[in-house]
Amino acid sequence: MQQPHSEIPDSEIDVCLVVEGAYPFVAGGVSSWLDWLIRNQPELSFAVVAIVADDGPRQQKMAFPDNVVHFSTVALSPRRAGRSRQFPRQAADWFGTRLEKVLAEGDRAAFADLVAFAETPQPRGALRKRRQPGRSDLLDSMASWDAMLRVYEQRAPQSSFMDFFWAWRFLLGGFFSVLTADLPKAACYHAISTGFAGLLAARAALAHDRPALITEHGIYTNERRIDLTMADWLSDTIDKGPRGIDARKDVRDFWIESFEAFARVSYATARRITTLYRGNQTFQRAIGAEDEKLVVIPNGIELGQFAGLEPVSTGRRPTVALIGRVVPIKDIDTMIVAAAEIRRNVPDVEVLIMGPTDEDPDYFATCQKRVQSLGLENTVRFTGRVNIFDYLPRIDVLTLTSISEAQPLVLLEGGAAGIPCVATDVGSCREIIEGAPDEAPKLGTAGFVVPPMSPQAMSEAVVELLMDDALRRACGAVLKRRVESRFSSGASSRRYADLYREAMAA
Amino acid sequence: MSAPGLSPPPSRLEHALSWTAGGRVLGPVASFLERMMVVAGPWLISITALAVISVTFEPVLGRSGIEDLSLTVIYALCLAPLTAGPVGAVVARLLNEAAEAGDGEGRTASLTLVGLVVAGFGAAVLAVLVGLALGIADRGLMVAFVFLTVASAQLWVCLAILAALRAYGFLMAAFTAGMALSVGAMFFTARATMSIDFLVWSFTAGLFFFVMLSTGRVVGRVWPESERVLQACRVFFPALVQQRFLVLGILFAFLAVWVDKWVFWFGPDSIVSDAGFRHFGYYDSVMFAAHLSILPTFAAMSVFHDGPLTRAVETFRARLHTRANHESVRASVTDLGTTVWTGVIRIGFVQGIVTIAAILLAPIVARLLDFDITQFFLVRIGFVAVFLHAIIYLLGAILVMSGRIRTFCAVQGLHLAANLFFSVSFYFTVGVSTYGFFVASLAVIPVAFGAAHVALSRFLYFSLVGENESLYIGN
Repeated sequence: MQQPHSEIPDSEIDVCLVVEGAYPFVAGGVSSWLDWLIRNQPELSFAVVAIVADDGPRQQKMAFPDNVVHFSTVALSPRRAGRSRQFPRQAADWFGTRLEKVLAEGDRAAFADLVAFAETPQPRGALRKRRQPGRSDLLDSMASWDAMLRVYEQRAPQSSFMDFFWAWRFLLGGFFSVLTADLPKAACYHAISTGFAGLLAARAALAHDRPALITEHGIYTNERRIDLTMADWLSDTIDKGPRGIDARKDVRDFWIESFEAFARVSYATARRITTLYRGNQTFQRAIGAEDEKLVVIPNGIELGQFAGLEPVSTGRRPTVALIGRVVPIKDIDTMIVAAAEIRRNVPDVEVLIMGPTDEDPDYFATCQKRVQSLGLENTVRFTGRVNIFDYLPRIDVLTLTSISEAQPLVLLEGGAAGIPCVATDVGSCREIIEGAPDEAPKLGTAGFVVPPMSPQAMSEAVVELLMDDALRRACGAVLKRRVESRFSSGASSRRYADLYREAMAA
Repeated sequence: MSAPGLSPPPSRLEHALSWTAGGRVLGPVASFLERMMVVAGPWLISITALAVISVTFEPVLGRSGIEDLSLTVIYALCLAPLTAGPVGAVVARLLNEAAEAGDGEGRTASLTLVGLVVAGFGAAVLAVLVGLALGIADRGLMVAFVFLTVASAQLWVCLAILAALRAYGFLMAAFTAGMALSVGAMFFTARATMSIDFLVWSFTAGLFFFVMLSTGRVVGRVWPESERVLQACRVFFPALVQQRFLVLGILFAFLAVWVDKWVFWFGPDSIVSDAGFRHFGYYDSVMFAAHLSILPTFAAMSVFHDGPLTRAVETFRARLHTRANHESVRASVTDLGTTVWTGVIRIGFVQGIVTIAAILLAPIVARLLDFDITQFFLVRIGFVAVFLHAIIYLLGAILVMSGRIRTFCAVQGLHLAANLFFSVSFYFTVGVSTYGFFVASLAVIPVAFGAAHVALSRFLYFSLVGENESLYIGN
């Protein structure tokens, strides 16, 4: 694993980035954005604390920029765990009460108490020797066990006890890993999600009396809720009937509510909470984020690389493109079905699916079969991973059929090339295509927003754009102006610089 | 004529035999006797055989010859459990784990072979060291002593494995055959020669015969391939390290039973036999008689373990596996606690009655064993001391069942240290007495009881977290 370029004393680190399950071990998406963020703040020094599942070896997928001066990992479930030393009964009761308040209410004060508790040497073991509690002491102690039983009886007394126990081990194990991890000292702490990253930044802020910032691309709690609702490794003990109306709680509910509680703690401790678009702020407010802390900082793209692109309008078929990985969440299947409808109106249309096809081979095979069954072999083409700049000049309409998105960079890239878009109404797509509510002056519409999983709506919108050159050109121009004014890399990095300046001065 | 596919009904004789031997009348008795054989068979048979040999052949072998023969057997049976006990316990646990994982048949043979070799080797080393330390000059007797110790260790391992496999019927039959060969061979040898080492070899032959029969029963007709045996080694030795507290606890338990005797063996009043074995028969005969009174507790605990206790533990596990809620799981834990305390109290009560009976029968015991008046008083205290030891044994069993292995190890270590301390203290203040063992056991009981109470009241916590070794990978 690559080490940072230089090790400077912790006290001189400007920003400590806390990231979960991404950078530097996963390429693409949030990792690419973090790399962009660090490189675009060259005057600041960064520490990176990566939260990982366990302490097994990992391959680093992204190289550190020169201004990353510290890197460490925090394992949520380390394989090596020391034996627990028990707390005295008085400390056990105090400890259990605060755990309950954090999990039930996301209580910031209780969390702060626990942070202080974990930082302070406590009398432990038979000899009551004072030492700082380790993860095992907190997770495996009788105090934690008693707290678990109390929470179980309050929250999900009819649920499977063993399922609850293992849920507790994971959630509180990660919680205690966060509480006991080594932390670099920095002027501010910036978590790139809530969840365990948000907790770690909150803990660091409380322990070092420095500000914490949160940036959410997707809403972590929402994503966990979706994952947990669909998880087949979680079995429901309580039959809530066909209507699902039942006040009793199952372990699945405990999982979801715990992540919400973690988010509440993170929001309550953070100084600023940023996201990519306004729609996300609704979810943040619903979990308790205070209005005055909320800020929208959209992602940006390097406009310069699109400057020399000249559209090619002759000697080619009408072209519709979807730029994205061939995976279920991109709902390529809807695009293929829509392609059949588009061809009925525009017989010589070419529909390009531009993105890697090796991430989910089964799904790719399903898509290929769909193409064959609809007789679209001459219409739909999978290009694989390509350089989009080779194709952008020849694309008439850009589409996005995703079921879930945050702020898709492909729409911004298409917009920078002056290409109108038709996208599903997920994430920030409506804001990109129709403009944010606070856009001034109003620039107009840059395409169409359609419901997810609706090939009919998608095909109608695409056909309208293909058949109307003037509309297509106007929408493309609107999107280009919008991207240049709101979604440039320079604008975004200036806003983050302001954010850091304000935090470091606090 | 019976219909095809149906076996004929049993005859009246078969029915009667099945009803009496396997039914409610003699079934529990048979089960109890089987457990007695497992826990104390070698001792009982050895003492019986030596007693018969002594009475029959003392005029021929002489008092010193009988003494050397007896002490050779006593030393061998004393040293053997020090390796066989821990090794047997680890092998039995590994066999249970393999059976639960569905790989019982594959591992039994290879683990048995590894256990026998390790226990035998350890016993040989111990016997050589002890023999050299004692300065046993007779090389023939020294070699015989080493092999007897090896055979004894391997016998204990076989007993543990057959008990783990619940092969009690075979165990009884094979053990009887082995002991019959031992006694018969000794009788034959005593008539033919006056050599003590040949007598020891004769006794050893019976033990090895039992080991051979047991090994054949476990291994079967096809010996495991070398790769299987190597694989068993790769499983066994790490398990020995991983279960080091269980190993140490069992070792401490055996040492705690013997240390008071050794205090006298190596004290200023000790006697050295012609062959070089140190002993103090005045005290040994008293405590050996006293220790016999604890055998019902060992056997009863084994029957209780395989019966009500196992059922209660399986109910508890079933509740967890069927994803019951906490209320249901807690109810099964409460039932388990009730079962355990009820069983322990019942066994303790019965042992108490046995102890009282033994005290009341002490005059008869003293007369039979030719005790003097001091020994008569010593054996009565000894019976009480052994009763207290039985309580410690029962409480230790609770700790092991609850997974509190480190605490079990600590309690046994405490008993060992206390027995050593008090035995030495009383020896040098009061003189020869059984007060050392008595006071040590009395002092340890409150600690053991407190630990057992915590273990059961927090059983669910210890099972899932506190003593769940799978959570501490790497330690």
